[in-house]
Parts: sequence; C-alpha cells; structure tokens
Amino acid sequence: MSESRECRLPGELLALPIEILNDATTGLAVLEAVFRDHAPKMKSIAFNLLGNEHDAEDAIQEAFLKAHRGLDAFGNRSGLHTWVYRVLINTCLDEGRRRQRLPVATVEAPVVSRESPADQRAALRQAISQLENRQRAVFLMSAVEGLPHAEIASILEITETNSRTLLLEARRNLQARLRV
Amino acid sequence: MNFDPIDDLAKQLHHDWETPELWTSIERAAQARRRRRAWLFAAPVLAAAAGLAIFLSPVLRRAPATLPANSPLLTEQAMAEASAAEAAYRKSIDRLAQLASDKLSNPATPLLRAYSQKLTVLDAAIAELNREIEHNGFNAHLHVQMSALYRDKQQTLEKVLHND
Repeated sequence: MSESRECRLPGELLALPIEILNDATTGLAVLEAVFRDHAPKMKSIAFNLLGNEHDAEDAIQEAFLKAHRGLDAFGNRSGLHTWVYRVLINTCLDEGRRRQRLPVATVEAPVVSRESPADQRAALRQAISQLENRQRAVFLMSAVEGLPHAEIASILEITETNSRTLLLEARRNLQARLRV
Repeated sequence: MNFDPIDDLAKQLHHDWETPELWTSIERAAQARRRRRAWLFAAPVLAAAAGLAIFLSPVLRRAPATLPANSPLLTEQAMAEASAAEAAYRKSIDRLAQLASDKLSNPATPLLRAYSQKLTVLDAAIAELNREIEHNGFNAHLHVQMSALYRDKQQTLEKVLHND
C-alpha cells in the first residue's frame, strides 16, 4: 500500500490509491465526490462558455463520462478534480468550435443598454465570448468563480504567472470592449 | 488601470440552477457503457460465460437433441436450474456480506470507504439488472451480466475481509 501512487480528492476520499481509481465502479464513486463538491462551479463555467443551461448540462455529462473512460490514463499529474475541470473546459471549447463550423443565420447585434444590471451582465457575457479561448477560460475561472491561480494553472497546464498574465489581458480586452 | 467595475460585474455572472437528475443520468450512462464494454471485451465476463456454460451443460445435455430453430436458448427447465444456482450463489455472497458488515458500516480507512461505495453501486446495478430479468428472464446475456456483477461483488467483499 505504501508504494501506491495517491491522488488528492475532495471530501472524505482523500489519498485513494490509484489502483482503486482505475476500478470502473469505484472510479464512478470517486467521480461522484468530485461532482458533489464542484458541480456548482463546473455548471456555471459551462453555462458561461456555452450560453444555456441545457448545453451546459450536456457538457458536464460528457465531461464526466470522458473522465470515467479515461481514469486509466489519469496519471496523477494533478488532483483529480482539476483534471475533470480540464476535460470539461476542453469539451465546452470543442462544442464552441463545432458551433462555429455550423452555418448560422445572420442576426443583428443586440443594442445593449448599460442602464440595468441585467443588460450590463449580458454585455459582459457577449464581450467574454469574443475573448481568445485561454483568456476566456482564465477569466471565467478566476474573476467569475474565484478559483485560485494555482488551481487554474493546474487545470490549464500553464504556470501561475501565465494564468495571472492571461487574466490581466482578458480584463484589458474586456475593458476596451465595454468601455467601463 | 482600475478593473474593479469589471470584477464586480464578473462576480454576478456566476449562475446556479437545480439539477437533481444530472448525476443520476451520468451514472446510468456510465453503467450502461460499462455493461456494453463488459459484454464485448471484458475477459472476466467471458470467463463467467464459460462458467455458466459449464454449469448448464448437464441440463443442456438432457434437453431434446433437436430443438426447433426458433427455440429460446434456455429451456424452462434450464432456467429453473440456473435460477436455483443463482439463488444459492447469492445466499453465499449474502453470508460474505454479513461477515464484512462491521467493517463496512464503520469504514476505518479511505480504502474501506471506497469499497463500501463500490458495493453500494454494485447493489444498485444488481437491482436494476434484476428488474430487466423480471421482464426478460430467458435472455441468457442478462444472466451472464448478473454473474459478472456477483463475481465483482464477491471479489470486493473478499478484499474488504482481507483488508486490515
């Protein structure tokens, strides 16, 4: 047992040996703990990347199924939950790219009034959707969900400094677009 | 540069909503995929199938030599014997579960907690499969899956009992 590789998990499932994670049924129980602890933030990130609750739920389901399938390949490079975040963000970005390839009807850009908070939020969402993918992911995880840079760095496999730089660039771009 | 207005607004973008069924549907999809994979690829299932075939061979040998082409794989008599064997197997696993119950009700380590959760999931899968078998008792594939689940449960209980 002492030679087993261990991974960090939330809640009571700390320090499980990797052999247990690789067992399909136990892996599901372990992923349930990740879901229990992180679903609110994961759902919100998916919602803000995809724009509606239905697609966000589909992305969450797909991400957890991919994670379940990939537990064998999970090499304990980071905590399990940061890995699931990464799978989720990649799933959402893939879906975004798939949508861009679909022919879309031309719609007029909405006229955004800055008077009500709801309009301001809509304007910010629209501006965020125009950011480059990594800036968007870092901004949503840091400024919206409050994840620490160390965790974001682990999720995106970048350095903490990179994470901070991407957040700064995202804020600058958003400020320029919104003129706030 | 002052980013406070953007940061204040960003915090309001957190969006939460109730999704009481989301984990259940993830779990069902994962279990369905696992069962499909188990049937197609997993060696333990093939071993269980071989075991079942060996177990049923005396009954099948007693069956009429010429069965109609559209006859179900398992005859009523074979089904009755298979059900009796399953019931006996279940009883022995229940005895094993009884022996492990102390450890499982108060799991002392994360490993035992994980085994306990695995057994809960296995019991749920067994219950679900039982419901399917009630509607389609002649489907030998379902019985093979059931054997595999019981084998998994037996092995897990043995690991619990040997875990100190």
